[in-house]
Amino acid sequence: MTATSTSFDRIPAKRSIALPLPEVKYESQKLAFPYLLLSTLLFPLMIVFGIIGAAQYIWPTLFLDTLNFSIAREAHLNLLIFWLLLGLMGATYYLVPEEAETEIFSKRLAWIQFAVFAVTGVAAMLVFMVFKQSEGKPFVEAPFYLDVLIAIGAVIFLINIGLTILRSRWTPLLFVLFTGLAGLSLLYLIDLVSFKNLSVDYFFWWWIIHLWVEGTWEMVAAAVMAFVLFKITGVDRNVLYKWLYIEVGLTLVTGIVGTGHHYYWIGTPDYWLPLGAIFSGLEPVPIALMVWDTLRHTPNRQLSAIHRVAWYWVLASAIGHFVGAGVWGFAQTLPQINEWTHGTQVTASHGHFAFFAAYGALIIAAVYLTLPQIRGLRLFGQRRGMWAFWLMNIGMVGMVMSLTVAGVLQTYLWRVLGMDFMVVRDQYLAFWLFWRLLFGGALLAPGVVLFVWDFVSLSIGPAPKVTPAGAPELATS
Amino acid sequence: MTISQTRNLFILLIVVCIVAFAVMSIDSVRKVSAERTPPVTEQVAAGKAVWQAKNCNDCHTILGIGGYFAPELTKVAERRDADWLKGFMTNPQKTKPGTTMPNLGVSAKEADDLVAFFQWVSKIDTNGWPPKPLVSTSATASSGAASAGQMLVRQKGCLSCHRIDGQGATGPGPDLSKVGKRIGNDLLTRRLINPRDVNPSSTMPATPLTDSERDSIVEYLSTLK
Repeated sequence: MTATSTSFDRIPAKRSIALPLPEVKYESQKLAFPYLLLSTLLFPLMIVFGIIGAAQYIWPTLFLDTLNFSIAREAHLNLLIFWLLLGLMGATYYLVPEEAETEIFSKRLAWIQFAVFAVTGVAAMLVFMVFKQSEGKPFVEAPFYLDVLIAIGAVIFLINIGLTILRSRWTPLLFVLFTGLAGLSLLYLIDLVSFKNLSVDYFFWWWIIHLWVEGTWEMVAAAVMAFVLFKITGVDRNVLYKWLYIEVGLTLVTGIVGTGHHYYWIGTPDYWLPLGAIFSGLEPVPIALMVWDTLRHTPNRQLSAIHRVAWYWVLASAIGHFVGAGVWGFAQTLPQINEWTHGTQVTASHGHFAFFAAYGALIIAAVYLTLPQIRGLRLFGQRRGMWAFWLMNIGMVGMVMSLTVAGVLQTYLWRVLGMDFMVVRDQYLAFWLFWRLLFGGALLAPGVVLFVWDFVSLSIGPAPKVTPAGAPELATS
Repeated sequence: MTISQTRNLFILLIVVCIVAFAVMSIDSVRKVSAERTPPVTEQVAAGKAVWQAKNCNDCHTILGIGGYFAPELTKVAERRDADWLKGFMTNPQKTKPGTTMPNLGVSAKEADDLVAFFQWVSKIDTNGWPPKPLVSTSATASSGAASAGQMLVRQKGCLSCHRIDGQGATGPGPDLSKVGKRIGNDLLTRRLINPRDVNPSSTMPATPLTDSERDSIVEYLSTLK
């Protein structure tokens, strides 16, 4: 065997794995690729703006006249939503044909939808950075005409997926998935309306933000997770379907009225205090069930070796979802606590952890599960993927811990002692926010770069030859 | 339970939750508009439009929502008077030298609208949020800036030589309990920059302070009367 320049033979054979399935079952599953690719490319871009924003806490005059904190933050938040939604859409295009046992209704529609989202994404960044325009509501700052484009893209997506399922079969997984997708698109329409009363504006704004991440996105993610588990562990589908209903049902029962935990202090009636506390206090329960459900499906050694990176990301997603969304969320969801922590870095620590684990990690798991099969690879090295996994996860945990300490300190000094906001920020939080920057910049960011590199090398690397007996063989020149 | 029974229970529970949530939402929005927020005038609405067009919310929080980069503004109209706010928003550096608030090109009219918006927000019934600090740091320090100055006086070791309202050392520095009555702001500022500039035989060290720290301390000292 001679040395070649392919990315595969640089990886020791024992670190390589052979996939049991040669290629995708349905040609249209490959439609997932452009979505996953764009999602993966936007991920590091989001990190860049995160690092700029984090650095501005330490050096507040950095880019003050060109790209101040508000622009860095809106870019960071919108890229977050974009890369996660594109990732979930990619995963959807991969799993729907296999689950519905048919090709996607229209490939052309899928490409048109992709073009709409890609154009909107680029336009939104230009609008924020070059034209300095903003709608001024966090997470949904894109101006009205781009909101309309996003809505059009969502409608195309729903039609395409809906017709695919309708002409074939509804499984519980597809039912949950489609309801989630329809729900998140419907809720987004609220962004097209604005209210003159700030309290009313925020009231409905939470319908998007909260009912997305703790409602409809959870439905889509639970369906993707069920599919990923099915693929990795080969568990009985009927068992999985039943659990899907139970877990998603509990998530929605607690999550819908749990929106009340955002209605404590924004001018809304005080009956939301007990309602928000009780329902959102129960939100960790379905998440804990999901962790238990995931862990009991731990695959046998052979399967977990095949899908090692994907499986690690599934575990990181389940455990991180519970800790980041469940525990960190519960820690500040009761009004007695929230009165003090609301509007501090404590919220930021929870937000980063929960988004990363519940959605980010799941999408990366889906990438590692689907990309090799979309590309028809029977063999790929997992070492780079594992490095990316540990760098990203340790970096994120470090960031969250730094933010948590900063948040608790801020709550005490600013809220409890009544010190000035800026004095607290500059003199007491800077140390901890510097650690956040360090964990993000020195561990998380290199991990993301490695992940993107892995994605690209899996996408463009040549497929290795396979011997007739099915035993993989490293590519030779 | 079979899968179809599970599904039906799932749908039933979700529908019940959605209906309950929708009913409470209608009631909430009605109460928010009618009782819990003051009427929205045209100027308040214009102020909100400026607030959003300038994307203030990604640095500042209001009602606790937004970026945690710059001060919370729910009660800013109670902390600062309208003239100060207007001056600061139209020209941050002139009003508060050394501030990291960028000049966003806010016009005089836009500033007036924003002030009306902030005054409106400060009157929203927020169930008592934000909470009053548990520890009352000073009877005299009522505003946020003054208490910042007071904290700085403690942190920078001023009380190792000076005494304020019975707290701190009896010397060698003079008692500052009524310093605001004796010395004007300009002189206080000069003394803080370089004590010997005012009194060549002063033994007070020149403590390194940023401009904003010095302003906060002077603002606090000037309230001691």
